[in-house]
Amino acid sequence: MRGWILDLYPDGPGEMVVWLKQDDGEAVRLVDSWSPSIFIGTDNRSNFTVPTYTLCDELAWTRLVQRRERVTDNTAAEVLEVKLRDAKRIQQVASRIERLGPFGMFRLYNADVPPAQSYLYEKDLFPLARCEVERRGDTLEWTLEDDVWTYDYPIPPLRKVELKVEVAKSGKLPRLTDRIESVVLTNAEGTTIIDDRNEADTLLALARAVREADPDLILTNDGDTFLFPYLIRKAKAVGVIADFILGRDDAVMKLPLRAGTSYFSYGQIHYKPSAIKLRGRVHIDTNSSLVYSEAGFEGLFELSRTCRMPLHTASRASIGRALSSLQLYYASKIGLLIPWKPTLAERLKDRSELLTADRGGFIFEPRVGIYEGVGELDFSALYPNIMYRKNISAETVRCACCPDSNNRVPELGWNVCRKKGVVPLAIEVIVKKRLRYKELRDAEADKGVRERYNARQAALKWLGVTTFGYLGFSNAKFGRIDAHIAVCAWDRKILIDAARIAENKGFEVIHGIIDSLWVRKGGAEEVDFLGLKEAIETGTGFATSFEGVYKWVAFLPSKVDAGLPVLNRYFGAYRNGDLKVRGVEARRHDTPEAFRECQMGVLKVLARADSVAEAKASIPKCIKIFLGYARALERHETPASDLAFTSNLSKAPGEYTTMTVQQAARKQLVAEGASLHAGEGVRYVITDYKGKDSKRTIPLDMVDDQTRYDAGRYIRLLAETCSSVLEPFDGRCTSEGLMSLYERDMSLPLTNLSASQP
Amino acid sequence: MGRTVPSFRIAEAQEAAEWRSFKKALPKEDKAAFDEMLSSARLYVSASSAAVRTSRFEGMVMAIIFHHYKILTRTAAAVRREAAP
Repeated sequence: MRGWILDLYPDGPGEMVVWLKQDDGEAVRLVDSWSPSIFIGTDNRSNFTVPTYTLCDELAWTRLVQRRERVTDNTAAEVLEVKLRDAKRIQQVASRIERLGPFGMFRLYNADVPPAQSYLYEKDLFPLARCEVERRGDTLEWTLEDDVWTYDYPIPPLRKVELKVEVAKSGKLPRLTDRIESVVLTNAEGTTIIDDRNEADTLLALARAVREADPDLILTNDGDTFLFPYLIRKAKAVGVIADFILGRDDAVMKLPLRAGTSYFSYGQIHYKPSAIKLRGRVHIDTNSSLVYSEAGFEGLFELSRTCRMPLHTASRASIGRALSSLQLYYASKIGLLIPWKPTLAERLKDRSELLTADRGGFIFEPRVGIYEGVGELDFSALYPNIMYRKNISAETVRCACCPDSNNRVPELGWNVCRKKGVVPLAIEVIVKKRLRYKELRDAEADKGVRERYNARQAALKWLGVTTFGYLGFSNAKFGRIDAHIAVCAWDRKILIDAARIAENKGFEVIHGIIDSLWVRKGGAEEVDFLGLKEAIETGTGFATSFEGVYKWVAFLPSKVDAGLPVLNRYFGAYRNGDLKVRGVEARRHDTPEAFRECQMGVLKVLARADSVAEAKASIPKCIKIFLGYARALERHETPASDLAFTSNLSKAPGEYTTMTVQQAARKQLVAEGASLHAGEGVRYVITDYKGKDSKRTIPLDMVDDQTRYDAGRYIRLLAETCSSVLEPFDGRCTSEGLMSLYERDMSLPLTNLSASQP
Repeated sequence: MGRTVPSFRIAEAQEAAEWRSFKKALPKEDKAAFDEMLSSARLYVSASSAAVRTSRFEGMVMAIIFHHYKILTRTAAAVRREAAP
């Protein structure tokens, strides 16, 4: 039997279910007799008898094997492999073993690798892999006819269905107790609306429609947080849960046992709901899938294949989790065990060494102002390339086996192992495949194919970015801060070397940050910048990309102190007319859509200018754009949905003590019965900024035809937004300046504005 | 894991905050000048960080001295140009 692996999960004890999508479009359920293993290390071999006898009811068999326990070990040690009877009990068994002796007596490995991933690693398979499978007794024998390294792999034609539910709201927000108004199923053939008066009939009709359409992928928006929990509760309430089956398996749908989790990442609290999986079909909640929102289906498929994670898991996984899976696969291939609780500690440093080591990448403070003829050079995937080419990994930096290695960390002099580390081993596929996808994309004429390559490289880009963070992440299985430090040290050397090369060629460095340099030289043309690119590549040994020459580029000062530069806050227009915008409102995720549109409109006018002088001359046109948007606000013509701010809850709603505009929205949502968690996003519209109670704002979900937003506040904020990009060109275009222009010209028709412009 | 030593940008802000009492004791007209002097150190944060000094104050003071030296030499050159026949 031939086909593609669509979905897999552990079922009954000792069973792994694999759904194979065949050439004829049918999905077939296969069951393999398989369960995962836990590995146990201990200092005294006789200790192995304790778990073997105490937990015999949980274990299929045990055996002594040779494995590398720690990533820093050069030789294998004897450990006990424990084959479980039931994959779903892996965590409970691991906890029981740990409690069998004092802390540290048993060192546990591979205990938190999801069983479906363990299966893929062990069989050397991956989701959507083209395979041939044969049944041999209770087991399946796989022959892989595919390769993770392939760039042009066929994806089977997958049937997709989009599922929506309309709720008959009894309040302003939909509640789990509200009646179902209708269910809408959309696929390639068309849209089916199920709106039976009887809820039980609606649910059963939905199950029937799904069975008939037989989709491989079911797309929802908020399926994990609302849609499926709502439908499951309804099905229970009306007594049809036993027949309300949306998966391909005949399993009854269940609410997740665990609630979602709030977690902290890069200075922000995020919320991740528990996944609702449909067996044999892949449920993608577009609202909680980072990879899908960034790179669509193609990105999701690439990530799932490369990192060997089932599509369900990959669609919801943080990029860090996907990267971990990739590293775990490579660790398993080299006989390295995966610690349940990593204990690899930072190496001891004295004060002086710590001060030298504990620094980030290099930054040349931007020279505040507007410049013409500046060229931008970016190092291509610099951090992943440093890790890959300089062999930076937890176990390689300051290894015990190669003290005299020639590979030394700059500034610190630390030795780096000659043997390939597990992180560089895992990252090779990311670095090489992404580079190749970019080449293929750039050489491709067909738009669809180009977009496919671009989505795949975008998914890999996120993996590369995360690899560096994971080197210093306390929960990473193969992380160690010394490796993280080594990457930063290399970055500082490379960026400083590049700047010196530029200066020696007569260029002036205007700004430099981590992996990008902005340089200029009087009269320099593209060919001069390309010459510099070549010199930098030769001098540093790392590839760069020449992003282009700016007609003009503005590096902005601090809003608090106009004399000080701000990192990564700039905008400019390349000679081909493309804009590059960083750090201003249009790039922020919490900016209302109308503000983003207005600021981008202004920037597009400025981008048509070939020089700073021309840009200054186009300021009246820009002001006209501002006034147009401001008047639309004044007349309440701008839809409230385009004025919603977004903010993430940094704590649970009850923990807030002051009535900020955000809190005002949260309070109303909670009063309407919404269940909010730290890390969840709240969208709101300002209705009375100066008000004192919870009516200062209204949550976007509660906006209706009667809602009147605070136009005055929005116009002031719009003036600030436009001022961010206009003030560098004309000092009179402060937010106050724009406001006074607006107030002065409010009674004039727009055509008469030129008289009042600065 | 994570960073043990704060970045020089943060360390410098902490150092500046510790001189709040100094600023408080200054006459009103000097307060802005004091802020401006401390801010000038932020123009050389990367260089101060690269210097790796155990005292953040050293890096900050070197940046301020260097900035003032540049202003002084430029001013002196301008004065010489003005004074030239």
